[in-house]
Amino acid sequence: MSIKKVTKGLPQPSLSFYSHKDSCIIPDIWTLLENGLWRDFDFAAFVDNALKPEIEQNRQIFKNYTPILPGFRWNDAHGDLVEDLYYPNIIETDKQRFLSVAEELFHSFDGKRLGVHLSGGLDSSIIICLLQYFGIPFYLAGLKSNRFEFRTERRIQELLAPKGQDCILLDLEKYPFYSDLDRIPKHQIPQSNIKMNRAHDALCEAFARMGVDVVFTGQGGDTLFVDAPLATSSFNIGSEFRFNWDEDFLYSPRGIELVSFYGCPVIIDQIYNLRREQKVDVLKKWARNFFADILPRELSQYCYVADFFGISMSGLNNAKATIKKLFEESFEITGNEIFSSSRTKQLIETNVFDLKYSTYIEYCTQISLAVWIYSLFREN
Amino acid sequence: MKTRYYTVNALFGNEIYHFIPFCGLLLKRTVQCDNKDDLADACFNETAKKVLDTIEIFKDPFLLKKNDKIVKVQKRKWLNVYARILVFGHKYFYPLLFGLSFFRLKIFDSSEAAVDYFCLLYPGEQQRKLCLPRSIFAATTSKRFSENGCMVIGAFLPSTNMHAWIIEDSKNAYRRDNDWTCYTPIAIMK
Repeated sequence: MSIKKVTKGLPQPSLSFYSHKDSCIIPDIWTLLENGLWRDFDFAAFVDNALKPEIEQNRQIFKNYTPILPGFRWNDAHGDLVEDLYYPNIIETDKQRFLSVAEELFHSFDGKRLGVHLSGGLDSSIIICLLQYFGIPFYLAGLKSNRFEFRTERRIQELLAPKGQDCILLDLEKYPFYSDLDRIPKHQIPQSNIKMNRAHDALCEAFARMGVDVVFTGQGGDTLFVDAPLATSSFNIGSEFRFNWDEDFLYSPRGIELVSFYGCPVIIDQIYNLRREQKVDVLKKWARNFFADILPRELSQYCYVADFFGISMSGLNNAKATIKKLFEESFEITGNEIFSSSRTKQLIETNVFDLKYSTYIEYCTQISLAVWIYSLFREN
Repeated sequence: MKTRYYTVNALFGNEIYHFIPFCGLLLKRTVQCDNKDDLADACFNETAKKVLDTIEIFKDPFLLKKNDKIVKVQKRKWLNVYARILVFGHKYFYPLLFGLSFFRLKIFDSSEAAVDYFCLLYPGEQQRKLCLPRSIFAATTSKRFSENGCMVIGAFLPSTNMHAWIIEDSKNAYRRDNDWTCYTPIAIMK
């Protein structure tokens, strides 16, 4: 790679920054990065913020600029970021009312071609089965893995695939996790959710091939179906219910709208109120029971959950050569100890299948830093 | 039928995984072979495969039957001591656990009831690391295990993380076990 200078990337609509210098919000920092702002980046603070989520106050990663991540807004009175929370309305509802609200929501996209992620999991399957129940046509695309641990998800995918007008199931083995770390789109601040970029890009391309305008995701189902609804419950739609990276870099550039069904306030209100008095429900038994008449028995009667540990670690293991290259390049550019040869050697020699969760998070944080630096200076 | 462990070599990429029951070790060796069929033949263990094939649930986890409701059982001191010995063996002396797995005490009506009892002794999160003593406790104390059950040891390939569980009368004896489907069977005790 011939190192020249930072070049601009795609817009990231979900991200903005607060400039402490000018006391205002700015949409991006591309020009500042071109002028060398990346040199002010506090690598240690970024790692600390990722590893110590129990500390409420994040350390500043840039001296004069605070990133405003999705789900947060700048509060002038406090001079700090505050969470942008949604407080559900207390309403009386039942299954019939839920169905009318869901149908109305789907009809608000009339005239557009709808798509749904076919992951084989419960949350997206509920969306598929609701659309089928309402007789609304839709298209499906999903990532299918032949690994042993995904055989229950494969079955669900095979069962639901014929329900779509068309369905594209991509072989996940062809788009391994962490396999495009040196081709990740240029981004303004390091991102941790890059491991599935290649697979999600292929998925988005599949929807584009089918001419889909709006894609529904099951993101946020975990929050709504698992957590106990409390009187004080609030939801951070921006960070918990949306795939912001995918929206910014994959779907928006292709003109596709990515919609979180469970992130729509009317759906949050419905499910929150329907589940009132319920306890934490890790296996989502309430949802399986509530939607039992529209779901296949494989989902309503069984609580199998896909475990991505194996596929994720295999990807990380196979990406070691690229990771080494990115660390070497990043060390050359920044001179930061995080990317030193001893650290790199330690990371490369680690058996990823024996990693503790905290070490895994630490490694992923370091990898996201190297990916960020590499992407900034890459020519294209 | 005499109780024995059947080991099934598992193949992942170019690696063959082999479990040694008496010491609980999972060995991994890399095989250089271009022909995947030859590699598959190399791990084929006909007897073990036959045993595995008789258990339909491995092929189709959606055939698993629902668990019965929990029946409360009076605690018995000697059973508590037995459970403790199994947990001790699991932590410090694996061959003891292996040796005890051949006993058939036939106390509980089913493995499910035995597991429920074991969960009373070690409630909550402790169970996460006790899958093997829990399964051996159930296998050795269930009246129906010899005829209708098997204990399975599986590995989450390509890692060497292992898990043990009991399938008896088409039910998983541990009602909270939802991730057994992720583990490739590498040994069956029947």
